[in-house]
Amino acid sequence: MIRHLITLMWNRKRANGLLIVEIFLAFVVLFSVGSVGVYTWRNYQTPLGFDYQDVWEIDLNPGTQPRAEQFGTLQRILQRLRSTPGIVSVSRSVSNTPFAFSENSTTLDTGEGTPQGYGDVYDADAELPEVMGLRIVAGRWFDRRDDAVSRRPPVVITELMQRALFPDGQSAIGKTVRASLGKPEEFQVIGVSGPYRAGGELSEPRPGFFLYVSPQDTARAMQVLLVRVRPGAGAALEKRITNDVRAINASWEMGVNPLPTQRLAQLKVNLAPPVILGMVCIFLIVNVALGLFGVLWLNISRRRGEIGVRRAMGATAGNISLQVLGEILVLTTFGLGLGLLVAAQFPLLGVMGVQTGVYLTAMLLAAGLLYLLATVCALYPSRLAAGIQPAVALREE
Amino acid sequence: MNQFPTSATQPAPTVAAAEAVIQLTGIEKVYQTKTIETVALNQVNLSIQRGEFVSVMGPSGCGKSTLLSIMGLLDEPTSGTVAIDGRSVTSYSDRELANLRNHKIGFVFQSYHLINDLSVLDNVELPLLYRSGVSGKERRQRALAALDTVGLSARTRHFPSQLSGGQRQRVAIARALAGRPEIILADEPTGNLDSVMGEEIMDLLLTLNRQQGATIVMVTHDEQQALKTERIIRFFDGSQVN
Amino acid sequence: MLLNYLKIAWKVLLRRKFFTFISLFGISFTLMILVVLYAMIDYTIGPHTPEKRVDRMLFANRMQLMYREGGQSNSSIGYDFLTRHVRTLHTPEKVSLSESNFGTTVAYVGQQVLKLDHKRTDGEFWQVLDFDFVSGRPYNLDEVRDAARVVVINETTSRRYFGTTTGVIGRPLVLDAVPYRVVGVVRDISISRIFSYAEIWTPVTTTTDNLKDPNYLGGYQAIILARRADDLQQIQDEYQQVVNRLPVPDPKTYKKVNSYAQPLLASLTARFNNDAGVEGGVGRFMKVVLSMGLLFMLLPALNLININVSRTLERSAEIGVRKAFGATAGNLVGQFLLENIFLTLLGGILGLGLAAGALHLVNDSHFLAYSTFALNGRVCAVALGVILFFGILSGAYPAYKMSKLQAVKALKGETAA
Repeated sequence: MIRHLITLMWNRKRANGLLIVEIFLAFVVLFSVGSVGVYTWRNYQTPLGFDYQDVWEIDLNPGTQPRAEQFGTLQRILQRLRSTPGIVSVSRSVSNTPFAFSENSTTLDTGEGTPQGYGDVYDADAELPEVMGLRIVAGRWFDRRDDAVSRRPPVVITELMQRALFPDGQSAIGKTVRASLGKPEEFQVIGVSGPYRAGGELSEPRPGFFLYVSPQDTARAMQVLLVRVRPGAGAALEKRITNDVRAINASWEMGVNPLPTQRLAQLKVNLAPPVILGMVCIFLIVNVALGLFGVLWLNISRRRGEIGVRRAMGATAGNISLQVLGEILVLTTFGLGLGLLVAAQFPLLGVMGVQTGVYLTAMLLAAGLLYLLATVCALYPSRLAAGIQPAVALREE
Repeated sequence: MNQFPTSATQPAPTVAAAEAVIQLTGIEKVYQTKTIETVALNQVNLSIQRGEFVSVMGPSGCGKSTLLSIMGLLDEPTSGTVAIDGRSVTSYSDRELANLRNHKIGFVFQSYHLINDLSVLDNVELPLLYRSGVSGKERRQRALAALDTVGLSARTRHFPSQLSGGQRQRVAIARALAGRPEIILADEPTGNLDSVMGEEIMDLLLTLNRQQGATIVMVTHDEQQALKTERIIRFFDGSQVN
Repeated sequence: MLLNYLKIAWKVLLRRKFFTFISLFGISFTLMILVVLYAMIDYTIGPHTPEKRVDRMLFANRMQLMYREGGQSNSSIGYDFLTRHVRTLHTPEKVSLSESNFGTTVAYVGQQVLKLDHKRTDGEFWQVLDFDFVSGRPYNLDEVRDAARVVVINETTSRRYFGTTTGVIGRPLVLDAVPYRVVGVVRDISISRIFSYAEIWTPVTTTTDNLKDPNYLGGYQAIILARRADDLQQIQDEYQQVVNRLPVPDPKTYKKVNSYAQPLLASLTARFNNDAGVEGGVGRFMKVVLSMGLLFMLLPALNLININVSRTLERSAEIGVRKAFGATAGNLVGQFLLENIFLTLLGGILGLGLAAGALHLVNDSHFLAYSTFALNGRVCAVALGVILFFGILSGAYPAYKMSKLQAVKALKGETAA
């Protein structure tokens, strides 16, 4: 019977050509949007690795203060903040704080021709794990011991970076890694941390590593602070620290951004494209479904004679019903086949550098959805076809 | 089981029922629309014997086609009983009726009703498709045999649109034969054909009747053709006139 | 004849309501999405407050330093550079300098924090651009020269800070602990007007930045108003000559300086296309937008084609009769095309209604700050063009098929009858 349907549909491929093209396009749309959706969802499901509640990001702008005096002022500001009730801990950072739409990335390796790990590079001081709730998996975080200038400065890498650099599973602790960040180029791994996805929930999870900012560092991490506050701290604390900073030096400007607010702002921007795509996709698919339904319905009335003959030849109402359903499923398969040829190019050519699994999931989802759609669209027309009175249908022509 | 399907109010059939392949008893068919009630068949009692070639005649709209539909189990009578091989089909389900049509009855229509998107061979295989337990190979063989019977072995790969009217009707007859039914119901099989082709088809049906013992009921307008059959049943306004 | 066709079209629509619904659904939603997108583009680059005279405007807001060893550094422009080289251009009517990106400034209302989008501008800003003042006035050139602590605020800020929009002129607004005097209140400006948008505007001289910094790169932009739209090319050329004569800073590191004065659209697209010249990648942008639009229309059009083709059967009798009475294939194509355009037109009107609703929702959602997207004459005209295009796109093939294939079918119908 299936062979019969395939033969029938194959012979009708010209008449059904437009329908097949439509199903093909619908598949391509579903696949594309599905890929975006699956990619976004997978990223969203991956742990951030830090706790953003009750953390504020503070931007400092020294204004016209001469550069030489700026470090002293920063020291005083840090001191004041740390002694302010309501503030739990303070960490010096650079612009790529969580949810900041700012990233800083480079490649790490362990020598010539060895595995590489490309990912985010963060400047961090000893307080960062306390402020952000960052997990240490192996080894240790930066502390006083690292203040001494050494030939190979310390580095803490994330688990993903450990996996990228040492695929054989050996521990990274104590190993020397290289980065092209200017001098010095060699670093010694002192610890491995959990993930730290400052890019936010929707960013691609990727390796990362931390470079040490000592309390005496006068070059880096001068203008951004991450501050953990006590739960419930609000405008009063914000106003107070703004005034404190101004009291220390009037030319300094500061801005306070709670991370939960930053996160929402970033989500709004990052979710807009997939949500808009999703809505357009839903409209297109509803459109295709209505069209499919309409065409099937019209085809039933066109094929009353054929249905009558089939009934006369011994087909039951159920056979007719199944045939209508089977036909559209065969057509869907034709369209899908074409669509899969296109879709397969994405993982094969490695377009966009997204994991193959994402594409495969999207293909499965799109195919499943289309079959479901075709079935739903065929239900009513198939019942209609089954209900045709053969005696009446045969007499019509 | 129910060898003699009669109801209390209906007279017993006139011909010995044991021989009858199709037995119609007290058949009435009424088409009901909102405003009008049309009586298509009125108290028809009819018996078709095994191996008979019967023609049904009458003016247009006298109920011939309705009669054929009811005999072919495509339509249900408003009242009365249809019995095939002596068994009443009144209580049969859709599935059982379909099964009977598939095994016992072959149809030939005036406008052929071939499926244009299927090749001649695929068209002829159609009845076997709805029969369980027939392998693809067997279907093919039986379809080829049927096409051989109607003399179209050379045209199996053609599509109906590539054939003449007479050839198309022969394909339709081959399709009716493929399931090896006992009964062939033909609704004006020569109605769309010129006289030469009509003659050919008529000869084919006669041969089938004589050589293979097929029971044939044929609706026709053509007196000449009707005279070639064993029995003529005439209809007028939904009733048998004899 | 036309009226007759339209009458038939209307009857066909009413005869099969379900198919009319399917068609209208597809057409109207397709159009809605396209119109919403176009309206957004129009409200971003078209002549709207405050850039009402956008056809006479050029924007110089990017400086590109090309490294000797490949690579480039892109940024806004230094204030000193703009003062020396753009303010001094001869052709323009007026040049305004302002911060190229708005910053955030904090004000406190009791225990509440107000984060205000803040732009510092010169006095010409208010002459080049056409803000709607609800009350008060812009700050003037003298106030800018004297770095007066004055501020123009938008209505929403006025409401949030003062609780009212009336009688706030002259009242103090404390920004980062410094009191500013409110001199004017303007209607809200949408963030889609990215070069003029802010919630509060203050004189550029109140900045803590060093405005005399000779660095080419900085955080400022120039908005140039030409006397006539025809002057734009001349101004662009004049600026180009100035830039070409400039000494390259630090010639050991850099080999070339690029900066362009561009119309609004080009200055926006140039941000995504660092290698585009003065043209700013507008051509590529238009190509991408057009092909995306076409691609998007393809599926709904195909859907409509499918349904129309399937429905030809219903019309075979009518076609047979028309042919019998001497209608040519051309006549029939014309009739069915007209019918389809009529249908698309109906769907289009629905779509415009839906688009108006959708834009309203977008505005209400505050997804883009202060957006005031709406339909206007230009948007409607473009929508009409899209409707006609869609009507022809989806009607041509079925009409051709109807006129062509039905001859056989109609004949067949005759023999069967």
